Amino acid sequence: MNQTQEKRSPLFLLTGLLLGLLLGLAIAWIVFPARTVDTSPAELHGDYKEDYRALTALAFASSGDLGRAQARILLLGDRDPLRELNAQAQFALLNQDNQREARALGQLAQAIQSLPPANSPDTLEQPILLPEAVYAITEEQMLCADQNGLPLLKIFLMDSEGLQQSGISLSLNFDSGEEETFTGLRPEFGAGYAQFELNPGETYTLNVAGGEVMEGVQAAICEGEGGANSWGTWLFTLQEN
Amino acid sequence: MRYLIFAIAIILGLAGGLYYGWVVNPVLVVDTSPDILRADFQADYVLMVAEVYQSEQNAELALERLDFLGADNPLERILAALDFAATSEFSKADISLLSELDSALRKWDPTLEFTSTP
Repeated sequence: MNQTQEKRSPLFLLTGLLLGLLLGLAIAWIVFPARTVDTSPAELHGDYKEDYRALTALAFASSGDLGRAQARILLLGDRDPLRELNAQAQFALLNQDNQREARALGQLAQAIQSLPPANSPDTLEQPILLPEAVYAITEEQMLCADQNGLPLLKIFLMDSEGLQQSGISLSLNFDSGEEETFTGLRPEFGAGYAQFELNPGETYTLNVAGGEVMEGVQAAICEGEGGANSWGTWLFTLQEN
Repeated sequence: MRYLIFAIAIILGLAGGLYYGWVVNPVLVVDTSPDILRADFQADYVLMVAEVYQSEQNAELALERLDFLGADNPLERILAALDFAATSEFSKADISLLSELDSALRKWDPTLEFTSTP
């Protein structure tokens, strides 16, 4: 009798575990699914996406900032953003009250279409390290993990011994201006860390401590699953020679 | 004893199931509403409303658009956007657009001011 009981024990355990697991999954997936917060525009219901797209087009008509409008449209995660814009413009044209919206959507589609081909990973021009630079690239990656963010340039700066350098001035020069930051302002990522947001269509030159280090830095697009595009993030680790 | 072990096994399984279902592999959410957009996306949406308001100067339409974010009082969303803008290095021009929208809506409907959360 005792022998039979001993043999059954693991089966009891297994049955209990399985029952508990099924119950837990039913609670977690059906009864009380995890409350979702902090979503991105790509997860919006289709009707809301249309509102978002229309407002993006109207904002573009008002500000004329194409880079910003394009970044916003990409946030919607459409497989073919141009097609969506044109389709919505056509649909808006049918309603007399939406003529302004239709025009704005059409103009935005046209403006995006007139841009030079996007920098897909296949055709992307690689940033070039300048020969006179006092830093060398020890790591270079295109990150596509954050599907919802804006195009970024992330940099880790190391000294000649491989230790992170904080408080070093970094700047990005582009046709219409300059952006500046310092390493170490985001200590949660490391003392040598700094990041920039990149405007689509701009070509940047990176300066470290006043000296030019890299040129030809551009926002790049990641091709996601099912053809949905998102902005990519350049990650460079630079080490002092 | 057998029942106790059985109960412990169920509890362990339950804990594992909850962890897997809530943390490891939560329900994939699609078709969400705008009120749960991340703070930066909400701030950018309010900025779009402000950009459009600048050319339209239509407070009623701006309020309708802010309704998209689902707040009881649209001023709350503008204030949240202004807070976010101040801490996230928005340009002065963008902050000024948000401020203009805020004051325009307060002027257009003064009752909004009294119902906003401090």
